[in-house]
Amino acid sequence: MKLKDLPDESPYTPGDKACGGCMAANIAINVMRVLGKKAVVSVPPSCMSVFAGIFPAINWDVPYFHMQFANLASTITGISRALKALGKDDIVAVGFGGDGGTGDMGIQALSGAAQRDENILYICYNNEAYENTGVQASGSSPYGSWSSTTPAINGGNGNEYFPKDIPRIMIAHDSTYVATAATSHIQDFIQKVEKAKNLKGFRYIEVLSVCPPGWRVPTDSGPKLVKEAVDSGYWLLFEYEKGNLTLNGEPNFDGLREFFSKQGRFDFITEEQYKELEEFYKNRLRKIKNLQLNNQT
Amino acid sequence: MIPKERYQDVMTANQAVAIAAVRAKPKVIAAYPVTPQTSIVEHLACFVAHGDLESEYVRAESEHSAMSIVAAAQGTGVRTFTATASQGLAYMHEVVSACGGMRLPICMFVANRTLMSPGGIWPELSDSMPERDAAWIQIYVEDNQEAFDMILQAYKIAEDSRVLLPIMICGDGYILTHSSERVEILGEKEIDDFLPPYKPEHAYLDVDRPMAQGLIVPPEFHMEAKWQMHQSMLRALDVIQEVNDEFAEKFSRNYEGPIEKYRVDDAEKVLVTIGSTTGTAREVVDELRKKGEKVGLVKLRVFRPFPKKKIKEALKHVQSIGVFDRSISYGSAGQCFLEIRNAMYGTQMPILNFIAGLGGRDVQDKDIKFMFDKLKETEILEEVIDPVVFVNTRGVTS
Repeated sequence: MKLKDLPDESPYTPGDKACGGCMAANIAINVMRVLGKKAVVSVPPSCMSVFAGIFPAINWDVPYFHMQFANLASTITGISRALKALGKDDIVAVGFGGDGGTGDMGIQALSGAAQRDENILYICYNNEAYENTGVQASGSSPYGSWSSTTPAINGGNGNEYFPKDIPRIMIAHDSTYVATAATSHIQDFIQKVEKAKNLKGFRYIEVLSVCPPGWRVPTDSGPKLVKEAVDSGYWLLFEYEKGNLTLNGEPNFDGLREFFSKQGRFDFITEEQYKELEEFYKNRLRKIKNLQLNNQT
Repeated sequence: MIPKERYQDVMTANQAVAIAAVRAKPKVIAAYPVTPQTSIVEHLACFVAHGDLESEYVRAESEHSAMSIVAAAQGTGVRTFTATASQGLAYMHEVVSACGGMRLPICMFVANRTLMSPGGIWPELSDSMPERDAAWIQIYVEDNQEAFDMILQAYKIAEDSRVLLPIMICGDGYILTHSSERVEILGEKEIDDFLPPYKPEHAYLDVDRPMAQGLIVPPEFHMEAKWQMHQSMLRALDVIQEVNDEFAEKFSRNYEGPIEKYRVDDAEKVLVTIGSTTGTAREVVDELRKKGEKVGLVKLRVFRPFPKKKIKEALKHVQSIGVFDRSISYGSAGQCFLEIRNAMYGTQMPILNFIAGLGGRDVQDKDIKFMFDKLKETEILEEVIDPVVFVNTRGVTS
């Protein structure tokens, strides 16, 4: 499907309460434009459950099920199994989880669902911290980044840990479909969501989601920042299907320093930390490329 | 294969519960093994594999996920089943507590087992009692036949439009789950008549009629939802009675309703029991009656909603009451005792609380006699200094 063929209307309806410049809302709008109305949505406690799911004004024009933090994957599993039992397995059971609910608390349920190859579509909008509760570092927060629990005071230099690589964990499950996407590369994004929609089995798409208050960036910077994240190798675009990994585009790391410098959350990193960051993202590309050695074709 | 017709066999409560679940025809089962519930999910896996039951059987990776799968499936509009115990129930507590407010008529069997620490796999109600505030109907059974019968009644109660609340049927671990006795299995057709297929009429996930479930509800709308949950819970008492009566008429087994009285009408000292210990207590009552002692027994079957009126009506004429608890709220008293004393509010009746059987310690006829003896020593309310009595506890009571 081409961008121009995408319907203007999304079952994720206008008027949500997301912060100015929130890219998670943008992700929900566009995923739902592709999925259409034959979908059942679940969102665990996260930014999206708050800005689009408070009674009585909600933004989902499809059946919507709000459950708990750690169980998004098993919640949509329950929906998917019930739909199958009712003979309605043409309906997509889709979940939108943040990075904390996906990679930290929710990883047990996610791993179980992936191992069982449950017929679900899991969208992780990764804004790289517990943004909803006021910017606390998560297991997906970048090294050196400021958050309210990784303060850059008294000689502290932000987050002391490197983020976990959830897509690689999902690939290690030999999942039916794993992809990363970015709203800046919208055609790639649409194709991945559309492909996932039409596949059966466990499908995982992780999308980078700029959070202006958490990343300490202007509210109009999200779309451009996402593009720079991809171009600079900070956010790799790839997809894994039938045991084969494809890298969508070859990043160069020239823009990495500028990408970090634009975000207030990296204001305090030292040159030494920057070097470590650069090393980490270059290594990450190498690790993803290494996965291609296992490709069947 | 399970025979389609009515038959009798010797079996554990776990087997009886699994066969009852087959008769109820849930479309989605999610399960995770935990002692002493495990053989239920083993039996069900085999029943699905053999074609006794057509159901989506999900081997979840935890109890938290098992309850999430069941809740979401029920919310999508199908009948569901799961079973758990002890740490498993505690682990799923977060999800358990969401189901009541979402008005999901889920049926779960709980094989009562102590909750650590101290650790143990033996019977105690310290797993299900903490869930008494989770807006689940709770029914405690005495034997394997009652376990079978109540699983079938459970769906009918929970799915009633006046109720629409989840329900847990609780039975003592090992004493029931691993002990075999004769159970009559009702036939498929007669159960189909008693319990027709589930038709969701409340909230369910339908793409043609989009609806949201489990939303965040701000303070200005919140209390009404909670009030409705409370009202539904209270209405469930009548529904439980109706379902009991219909079951009794159709299948000739009558559990009387939320409580069952035994030799209470002319009794002076009455013991209130819960779970499998009722069987032992009934024997002791008969024995003491033969000696001319005016003793009786009330079997507490339904703990939530609590049958306050029925308790007061049944016990208003007696001189003193003893309440057996196989669990305790530390620093207070046993949960059954607190409820019974609350029900008897306004009377001057002495009420004692007998804590026994914790961690699976055997509750024998001598222990029940000890309880009646203690009641004999307590004639008036003023004599009750500390109502909580630990039975058969080293260094505390003989």
